[in-house]
Amino acid sequence: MTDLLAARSLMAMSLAFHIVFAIAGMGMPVLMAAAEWRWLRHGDELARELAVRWSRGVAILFAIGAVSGTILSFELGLLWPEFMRHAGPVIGMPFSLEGFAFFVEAICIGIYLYGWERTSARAHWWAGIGVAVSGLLSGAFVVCANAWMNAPAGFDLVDGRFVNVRPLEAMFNPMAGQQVLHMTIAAILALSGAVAGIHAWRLMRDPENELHRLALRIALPVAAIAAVLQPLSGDYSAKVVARQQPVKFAAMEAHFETRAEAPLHLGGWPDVDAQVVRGAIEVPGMLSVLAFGDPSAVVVGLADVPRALWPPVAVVHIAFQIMVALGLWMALLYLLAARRLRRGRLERERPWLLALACSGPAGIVAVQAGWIVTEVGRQPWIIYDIMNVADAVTPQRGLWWAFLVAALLYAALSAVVILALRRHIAAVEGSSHA
Amino acid sequence: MPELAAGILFGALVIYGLTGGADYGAGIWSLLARLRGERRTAEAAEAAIGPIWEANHVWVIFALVVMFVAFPPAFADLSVKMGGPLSLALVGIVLRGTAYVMQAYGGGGRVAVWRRIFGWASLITPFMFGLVAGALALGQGAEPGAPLAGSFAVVSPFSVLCGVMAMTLFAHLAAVYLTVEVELESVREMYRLYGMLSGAALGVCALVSVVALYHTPGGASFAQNLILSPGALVWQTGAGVAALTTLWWLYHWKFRLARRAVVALALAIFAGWGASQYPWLIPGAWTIRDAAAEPAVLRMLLLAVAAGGAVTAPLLWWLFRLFKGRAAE
Repeated sequence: MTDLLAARSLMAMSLAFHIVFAIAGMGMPVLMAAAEWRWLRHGDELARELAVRWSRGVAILFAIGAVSGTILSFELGLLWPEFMRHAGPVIGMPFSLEGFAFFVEAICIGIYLYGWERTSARAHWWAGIGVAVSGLLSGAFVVCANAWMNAPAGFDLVDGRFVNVRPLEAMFNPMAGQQVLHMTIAAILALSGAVAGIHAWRLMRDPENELHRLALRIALPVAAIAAVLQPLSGDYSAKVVARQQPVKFAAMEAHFETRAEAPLHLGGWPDVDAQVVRGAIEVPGMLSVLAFGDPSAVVVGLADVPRALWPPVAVVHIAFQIMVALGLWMALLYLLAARRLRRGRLERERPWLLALACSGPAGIVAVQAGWIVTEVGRQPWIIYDIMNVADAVTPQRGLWWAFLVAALLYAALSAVVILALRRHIAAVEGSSHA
Repeated sequence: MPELAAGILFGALVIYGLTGGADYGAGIWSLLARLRGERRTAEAAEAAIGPIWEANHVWVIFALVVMFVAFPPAFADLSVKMGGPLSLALVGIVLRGTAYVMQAYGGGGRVAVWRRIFGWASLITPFMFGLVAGALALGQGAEPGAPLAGSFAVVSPFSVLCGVMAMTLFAHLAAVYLTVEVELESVREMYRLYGMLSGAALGVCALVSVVALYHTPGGASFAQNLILSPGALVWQTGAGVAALTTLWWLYHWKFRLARRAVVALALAIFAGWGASQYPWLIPGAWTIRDAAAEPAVLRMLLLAVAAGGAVTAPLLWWLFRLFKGRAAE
């Protein structure tokens, strides 16, 4: 394993791990605040109970997320010092704001978790809103910084140096709006889908459990709304990517030949050497429509780009297909399930509960696939069209040792989370029967 | 403006030392008390970390962000040259965080193991931070040559002593804070004793480190800055007076006054360190001005800090009032 590959793998592992907790930090407080609002508004004691129990789960996820986030902030320097040397000041704005958003989230979560008895009900609810808003904002800020790597803006490149930095222009770069929108909805969708899945799974065993029923009634509508919005935001994302990063777009769609009335490939395996997609369903002209809203529009293909600048096409294309397929599946499932729930039938219908439980991880898998599209699709660049990943890496040697140690630590962390959450869920059920 | 940004960086480190440092210290006491079989003393230290833990932890991330935004080349060089010790500090942070989750939410029979991991990790991280600070002060951040992954060329008697001193200082801070915070009288007495012992140990460390400095190649000129320059002399004297005052109040059972004195002691140590290095960020390699990013970047950073501070400060005040305020009454 070369040092560059070790650094890449370490970073990928760290991001893939952290994103799960970032999703929880962005989405879970929304559900918590919704449950507590129900209690404040209607005096529903069960809703308060649910908020308390959810918040304990959040505490576990947040504590681990804080750790994995710290790892990332160290790794920016430890693994990619040359990137930070140049990009640090340019994307400093969203990172410093993210620092404060995270700070607010940490403070509010402290008050929320330990302050049930120490502050008024309304003040406590506002602390929960503080957690939700700052959680969503900190996600948005970090995504702005990532978007800058895809669409670098807000500086002039003079002799390899980044000068005349315009921090706001860098933060609100052409990809920022689209990525923030898509990720925010994704986080809420993935999280509420996972929560609905967990409670549906528990309802299969214990259909009369009021707490699980209430949890499903809160989480499922949120998931349904997010799942319907997400394909729309995805369509907008595709149009922005087609303009900003045509190579990534071509890799996502495994589109080799530059042409008008470009076809859309559904499924299939891209044969990179032959420059064809095998076993895919072709929809004529559809790719031009998706990219530019016009079937006669010309879509740039990979063949127009030097091979050295291609991202790994198969990985990007397949990850993209997985994301889209899961997104469409979730939109269908959550919409129908939420309608059934409104008519009060869902809680006893095992096939539906089973479908929800099995689809619990779908949102998280889709988020991981989406980030693979974003990150692998940008290769070989770390800053699109400006800096190569290979030029950004640390000169340190023996990075695979670091990778090994980190892999062990992440394994331990994962075990800890699973143990703690399992114990938490078991404790919840034990006490709700009492 | 670069000085202002450096001031913010320094401020974040100082606050991290005063709050997060005490959390490390509490971890150290929990470890030592468990090793000595003093369950209640250990529990008091563990209870003190609860609600504030997440918030305290943020300062180190904030310091990292300010550094890479405002002083990017210094950040990049620091990350490369001090990669080894910083990675180990990070491992310590990760182990601490993991162990914290298991202790607080895991339950079950393995708690004792996690507590031990938490305690040891609380020793590693401050030691590594102190080691890095000491090595930087000796000018080792400026040395050319191979990066130091795993090789730990930064280890010298002086930098090791700086690591020990950081551990001792944090333990001392935590012990004195705990004399105010704990409720059980017998436990309070233990922390009074621990506070005095760690204070004495800190004094010994300081003296030995000065001796070590004179025997370290390249150390003498820094020693001059640290001890003999008029500015530094003020802070050293201040630290000495504050240390003795802390011990005096501890001895006389005046714990609130001792807490004030120990905060003054930590501030004086940090200030002396800052004053002796000024205007160097990484002595020998980057001054504050040379490493600073463009004015437009610094301006936006200061704006962001001002706006963020305006939102964060009242919330932080609320948090401390809710939890630390009551315990102190």
